[in-house]
Amino acid sequence: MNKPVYFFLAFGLMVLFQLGVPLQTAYRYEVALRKGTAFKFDTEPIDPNDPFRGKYVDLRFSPLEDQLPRKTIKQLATQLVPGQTVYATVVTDNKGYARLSGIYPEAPVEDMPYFSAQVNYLNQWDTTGTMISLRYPFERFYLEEHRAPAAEDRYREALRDSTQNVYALVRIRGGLAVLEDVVINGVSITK
Amino acid sequence: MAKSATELAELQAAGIIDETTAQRIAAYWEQRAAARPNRLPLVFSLLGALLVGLGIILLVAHNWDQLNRFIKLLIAFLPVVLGQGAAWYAWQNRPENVAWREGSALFLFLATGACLAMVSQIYHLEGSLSSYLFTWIWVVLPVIYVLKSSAVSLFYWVGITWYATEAVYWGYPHGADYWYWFFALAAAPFYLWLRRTRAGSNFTIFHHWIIPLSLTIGLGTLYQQGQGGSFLWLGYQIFLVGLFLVGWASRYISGQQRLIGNGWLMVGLLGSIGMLLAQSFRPVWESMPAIFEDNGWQSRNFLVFAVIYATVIGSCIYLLFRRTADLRWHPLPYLGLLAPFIYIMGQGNPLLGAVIGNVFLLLLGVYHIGLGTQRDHLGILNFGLLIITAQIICRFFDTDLSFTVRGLLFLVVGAGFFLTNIYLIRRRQKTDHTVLKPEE
Repeated sequence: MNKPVYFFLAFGLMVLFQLGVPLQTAYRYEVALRKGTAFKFDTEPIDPNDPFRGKYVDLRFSPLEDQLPRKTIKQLATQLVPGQTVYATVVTDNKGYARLSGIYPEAPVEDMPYFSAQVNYLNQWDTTGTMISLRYPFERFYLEEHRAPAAEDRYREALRDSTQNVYALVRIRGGLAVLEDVVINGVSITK
Repeated sequence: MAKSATELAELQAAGIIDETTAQRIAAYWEQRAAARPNRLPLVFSLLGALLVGLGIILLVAHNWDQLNRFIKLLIAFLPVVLGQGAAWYAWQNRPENVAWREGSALFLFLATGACLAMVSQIYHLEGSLSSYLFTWIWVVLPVIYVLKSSAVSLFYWVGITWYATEAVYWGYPHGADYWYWFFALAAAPFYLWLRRTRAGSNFTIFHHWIIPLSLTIGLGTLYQQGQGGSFLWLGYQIFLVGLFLVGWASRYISGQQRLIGNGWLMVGLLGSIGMLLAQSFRPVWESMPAIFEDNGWQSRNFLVFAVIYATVIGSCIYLLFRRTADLRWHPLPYLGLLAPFIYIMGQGNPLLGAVIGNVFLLLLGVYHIGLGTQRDHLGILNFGLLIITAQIICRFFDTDLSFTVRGLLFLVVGAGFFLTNIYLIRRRQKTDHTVLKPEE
């Protein structure tokens, strides 16, 4: 059966589109993983799951209030709205861990590592508790299904012993942040 | 077929039909069987594609972390390429085979979903379920048109509805999301094409149901919190009348009478009855946010209401003035037209609102009882009685009414069931006799 030319054209475009969308995502993150600057984010993991993507470890990071001065946060809380995308710049502190150095509504122009995050919720009234909660783009670490609960147990053990520590290894490049690994007391969570 | 052949032989042996008639009947049956394709291969190919596709998604979700990233990426793309190959083969070599076409398209649809899931898993992408569904919907949209796949179109509608609920109802922070409407519009031409070219197909009938249901759920995504909430409530009531009108108009245009195939009409009718049942209670009116408070007409809810109302007024006028549309005695168009005034009255005086709700339910019940009697249709007749029964059951919970009144209401409706059914069956038997008599 002879198909008109536009069918071949349409089919070809469909094929390219279907392969192109996931390939482009994979490429961007692959580059960030290989060439990005590495940062260690202090974290606490918990273990939920997603119907399509499987088990993952949900990471919680230290609140903004521990990283930026109260005054700055108070001022920011009045400017932002929930759901807004903001840009966070990152520095490494003297203990070797990542610390946010600033939150901006626009992407910073200076050449310093930053990533985009979403404002989760705001609290402008209670000035002693959490005033700004951010959603980081690297809060999920997917794991093989049987390992996720085990990893959580290991994390709990690490918590009891205050000499142990847990951090997320994140690579950042050009505003894109990729989670490379979660390390519990010096050992990868996948081991 | 074999049984029919032996029956033919028996009839021929008994001398009821001659040999040529027997041959002609056999030929007719054969031709009819050829015209009605066997649905089994289609069902199995769809089920197979669905199971294999879902199996791949589950395998992906297991997350094989001992493989390296590139092998994982290869595995992610393999099913997509396979699906594309199968779709290509189906269109090139088996264009007339629905089982091949629909099966391969459905497999491709699931494979793209698995691929996207796997890529975001490999790179640990944060991202809500709604953003994942969003990308998937985009990638699937061309499949519907390029491969002309009804099965994928059905799943697409389910997918965009899921997306709408994820993005707006469960998502946080709540915000407007107009993408659902864009996706719905994008798939509409395909649905219209199905209606035109494959009116009798089961796929098309499923679409008749899933689209009005999806739109009903989608309408809620336009809700704006805080202001003018009752405009959306009102908008919903008129919207359901609108769905009903679409169903009615398409029935009147195509002449198709079967209700089971008319999802638009049924969703609109049943939805309206559901809302009316709620509004037949006084407390519902008492707790409703007032229409003219808090500058509700400045909200998006008002805009949504205004657009729906204008559309429904237009279609009501068009249909009510067409004699052949036969809509003049149906209570629903009037409910749609009068709804804003009913809301204003009901909020001013909740008891009046509840009474109007009850009156409309009663009218709907009586209308269907009348229609059932006129058409000699026990189903429609009993549907009308069911509406009234539902209404009476609701009144059972109304503490305002005395037990005597409620008891009497139940008695009257119970008797109504008996009498109307007996009347219709008797009348049927009588007409059967009159038809038979001349032949005796």
